[in-house]
Amino acid sequence: MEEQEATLVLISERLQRWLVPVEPPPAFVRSLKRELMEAARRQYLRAHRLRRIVVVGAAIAGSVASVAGLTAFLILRRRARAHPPVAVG
Amino acid sequence: MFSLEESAVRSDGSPDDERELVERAKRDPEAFGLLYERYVAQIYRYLYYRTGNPQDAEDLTARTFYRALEHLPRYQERGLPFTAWLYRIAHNIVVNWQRDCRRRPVVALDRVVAHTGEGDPQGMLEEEEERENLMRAFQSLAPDRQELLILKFVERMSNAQIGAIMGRSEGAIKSLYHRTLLELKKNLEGMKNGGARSDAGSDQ
Repeated sequence: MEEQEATLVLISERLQRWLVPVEPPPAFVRSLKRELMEAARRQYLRAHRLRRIVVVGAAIAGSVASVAGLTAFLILRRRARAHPPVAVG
Repeated sequence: MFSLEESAVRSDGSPDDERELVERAKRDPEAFGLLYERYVAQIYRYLYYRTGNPQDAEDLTARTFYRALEHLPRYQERGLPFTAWLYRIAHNIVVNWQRDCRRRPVVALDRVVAHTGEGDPQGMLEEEEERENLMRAFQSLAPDRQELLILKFVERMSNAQIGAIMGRSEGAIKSLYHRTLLELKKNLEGMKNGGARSDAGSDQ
């Protein structure tokens, strides 16, 4: 048991010695950042446009619905005036 | 919207700062750039040890950040550090990469700092062989065990920090670490006795 513990400590020490931090090459970091920022700008622009399309579309749909409602109301009122209900009796 | 200079001044690395930065990054490319700068080295190191070579680590680091950018608008903070989300993306990418390409990680001997046996050629050779065996044993571990060792030894994180990233308790990490060492010992003994175990510890 003690021998096993000693071996595990040894393995742990070796891991500490050999699993060392490595750094990405600075040129790679810079060039990936440039590409990502460009992609991010495009993505945000697309999202912004999509939001605008949704808002404008909703506004147009709302306006059409209002105009249609008003028109229907006016037609019904005109019909009601042209043909007043006949009183029974 | 904040400028890059303002962001740099405001960034103090605290959880609140990170949360704010992530929220801003959902609509501001400059903030996304800051997140990238903060975590690129960590993700690269993780992928370097998972793939075993710098070229693939670069390729997969790029894929990780592109995917993060794509999914960031839907990211929701659930009490875990932002790095946990990034590591998850990197983990999925490396698992898919290994499966699709059926590639086996190769120990990159040129980049890892070599600690040699102080000028003694025999000692250097032995140490080199030991290191190669250990790296091979490391790379035959299950992905979660490799992740644990990278976070512990490369990133020097505590068990609590590792637990937060891997979504496990501190006790579970401690016990996983012990099991991982036992498995490494078994793998190394297997190598000494004449052949590396290639399927060891695949519990995922």
